[in-house]
Amino acid sequence: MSFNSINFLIFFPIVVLGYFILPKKIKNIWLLISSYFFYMCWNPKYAIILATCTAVIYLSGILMDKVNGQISDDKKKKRNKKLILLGSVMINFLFLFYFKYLNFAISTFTELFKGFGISFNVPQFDIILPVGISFFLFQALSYSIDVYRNDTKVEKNFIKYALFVSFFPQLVAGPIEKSKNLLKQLDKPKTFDFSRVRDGFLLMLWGYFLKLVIADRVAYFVDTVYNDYSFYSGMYFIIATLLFAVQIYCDFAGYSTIAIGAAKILGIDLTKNFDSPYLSTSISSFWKRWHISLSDWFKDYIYIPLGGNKKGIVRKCINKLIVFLISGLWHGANITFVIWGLLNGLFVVISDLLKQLFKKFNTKGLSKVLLKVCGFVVTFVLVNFTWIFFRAPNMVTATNIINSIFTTNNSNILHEGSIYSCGLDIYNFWLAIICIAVLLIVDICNRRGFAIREMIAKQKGIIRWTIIALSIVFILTFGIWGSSYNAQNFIYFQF
Amino acid sequence: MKNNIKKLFGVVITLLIVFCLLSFLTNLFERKDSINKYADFFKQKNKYDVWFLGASHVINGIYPMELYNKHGIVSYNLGGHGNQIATTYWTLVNALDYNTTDIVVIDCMMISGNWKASDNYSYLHFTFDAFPFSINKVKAITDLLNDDELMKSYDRGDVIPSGEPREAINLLWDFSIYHSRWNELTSGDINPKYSIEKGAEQRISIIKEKPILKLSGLNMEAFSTGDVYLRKIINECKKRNIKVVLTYLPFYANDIYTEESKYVYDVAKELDVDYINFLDLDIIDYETDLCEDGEHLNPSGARKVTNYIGDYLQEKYDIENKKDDTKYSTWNDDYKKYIELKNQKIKECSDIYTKLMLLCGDDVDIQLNINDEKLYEDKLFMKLINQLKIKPQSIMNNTNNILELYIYRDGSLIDTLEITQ
Repeated sequence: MSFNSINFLIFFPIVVLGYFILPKKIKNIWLLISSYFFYMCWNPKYAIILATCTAVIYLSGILMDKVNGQISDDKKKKRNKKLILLGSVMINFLFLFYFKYLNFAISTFTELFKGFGISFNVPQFDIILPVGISFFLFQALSYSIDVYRNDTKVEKNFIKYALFVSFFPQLVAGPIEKSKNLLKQLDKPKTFDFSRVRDGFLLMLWGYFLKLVIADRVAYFVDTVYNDYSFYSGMYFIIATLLFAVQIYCDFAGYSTIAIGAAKILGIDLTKNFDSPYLSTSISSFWKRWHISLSDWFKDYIYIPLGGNKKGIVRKCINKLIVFLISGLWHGANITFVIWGLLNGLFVVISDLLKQLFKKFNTKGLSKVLLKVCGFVVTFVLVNFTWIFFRAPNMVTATNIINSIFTTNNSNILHEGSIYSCGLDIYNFWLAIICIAVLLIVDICNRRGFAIREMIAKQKGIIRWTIIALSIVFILTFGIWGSSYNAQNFIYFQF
Repeated sequence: MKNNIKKLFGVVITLLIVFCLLSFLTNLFERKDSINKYADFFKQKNKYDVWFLGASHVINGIYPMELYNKHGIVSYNLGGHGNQIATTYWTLVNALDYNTTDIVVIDCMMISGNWKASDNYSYLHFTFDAFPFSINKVKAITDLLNDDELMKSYDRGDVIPSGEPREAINLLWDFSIYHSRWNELTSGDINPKYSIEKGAEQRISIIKEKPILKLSGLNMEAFSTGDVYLRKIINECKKRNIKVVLTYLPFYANDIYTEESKYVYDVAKELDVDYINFLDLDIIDYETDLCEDGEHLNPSGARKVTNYIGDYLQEKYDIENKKDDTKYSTWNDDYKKYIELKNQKIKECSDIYTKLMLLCGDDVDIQLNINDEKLYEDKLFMKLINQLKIKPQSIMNNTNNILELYIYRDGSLIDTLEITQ
């Protein structure tokens, strides 16, 4: 069940109603049942994987707690806990490897052996990737690692723990919550609060605007050009890539915002996942503002354990490259994602080094502004460059697209009108541009600490109600939904 | 407490604004074909004499305005493109929510079919979009979309599914598909022009050669889905004291259709209803009265069939002539508009054969001048002028014209056609 389906619009109010009507004691059970129902709407079999991962990590927590209580020798305690952690991590990664990386590994090894002149036929397995497996596994693992580090208390209430892993708003595409944040909130289910519900609803509306009005609209252009890349060249790819940057942002930030809004209605605060990333003036700043929950996860559970920035500059650079390589693989089992990750890692490393360099020059006034503008432009261009690898189906296509961008001069398509034949007619194209401008204004406002949502909430009743009603009607009218269009799935489900 | 009431009031106001705006936009964005067909039906408050139901054969084959003019019968054509008998049943049930009639005429083509609805989803929109949301509409959509036999046909590859998923929401709240029409709205969407043909549609063309008709999924056997629903229609009508007349309208029928038409005799006899099988009657001329596809009646054929049905109904059911009935006075105004429409269609037609076909059975005076002996050897041309009962004159003045056609209605010249060498 996707957030942009009619089913969700029926499901969610029922869940909310049940949650606030039911007695406190069974609120979490209600949410757990709802979450599993939500997940099983994709494929009931997926629930077995979700339940198994939940059980394994839950048990590992209980075992580590027992070790803490029963063994007094610190060394032995640490070793045993490490073994338990390793066991739970291995089991969960086996799931992830089987469902996500098995075919990729087989084809990579086959190609590798081919290089040495050894060829053999290994069948590809027809494996359907369970929706959001990377998200809930990472969330579950964060708990296991936190328990191992004694950063969080062991959760003995299985219902609460299972809900922590499967909480439906963020189950399939994040934000990836840490146990420290989410588990605590599940202790005290909230009662109905009108302002919070309204705030959550406004967040959901904004999320739907991003997803249905912008992301799914520009997707037509992007898909037309990228799916039939042999028919297009130069400027088409530039526009398609710029629009893909918008699409993936609006798609993913849209999902996160709906998730945060839905959770807020249920009285749970999820972490912010995006913070106007395209306004960043450096790549490292971009990654602090893009998919924040995943970046934090990598920082806490990979970068810091690798030594972080405490083992010298070379090691720091290597650590960052490793993190981005893993990030690339997390996004998809394809060499294009690996390259995408490595490129981002490389740009982050260079960005950090340049930052150190610029610190030596004390820039002020106009030169500081100019530097920021340059930083913004360069960051945006580089991020877009990496998106080509993210979107292209394979490396050959990606390199052909890049080659075409640099060798073909067909900027005339901008004024002769042929861009309106790439999946979006003139009206839809300009509607997309206007909506992107609105998004830009909202992002600038957010960056300056001015929340439009709060501004709406402060308005007089009738104005506020009219704004909300008009927003709903606008999204329903101009959103891409229903049967006339094949509404896109949220891109990040596949990860 | 006061604060809570205020909040509740806010929610209600918001929902009310959303509801009002969506109602307005739903009407604005809706494709207008369906409302174009049914607008007059919903406008009429007085009872009908006859409703005609069936598939496109009915839409193109029976003209209520002609029936009114010649027989004073007040009728409506509720036929729908691609309607299976089950769809016809639900059209009738929904129509009965808004008005009623003394007689229902059901065309039984596709009685042997096992689908409940057309495989072309847009035809269902054409049939149901205009009907407001109601319990019977929900029942209709739920039943028609639960169509196992159609699904089997998809699985077998007999037909290819159309792009639009067959989801109930699209028919129950058509804004869910039409909202994407915001960029293709025209003045016709803001000020829609409704048809004054009382549900009928003129299909203007003339058959060129006998077609080979192929229609998958038909295999005559008793108690097919079509048969079951035809019995439901008859039972429903009997319950409401509505008389039923079954028909099988004429076209170039292959063996299966001929078999179907014969089978309806048994059903009619069993259920004690009247049946007119036009395949067994010599009413139309198969060379001039069918459209290009050989399946549908053109205006010439439709007028003959309408006239026959009018005579039949008047004779058999003694229907009162409504032409002087003040309750139906708007029909006279509508007929005037209908004449304008007919004149316009005649003017728009530039092909001599089609133009002559359009004039067959119409109340027009025709003057035809010919200056080419070869025309007398043209079989179709001669057949048409014989049907029109006109004697061509020779062209006297010194022109290059080989044919001159003058059409008069009520003494006024409405159109001319000149064909030069």
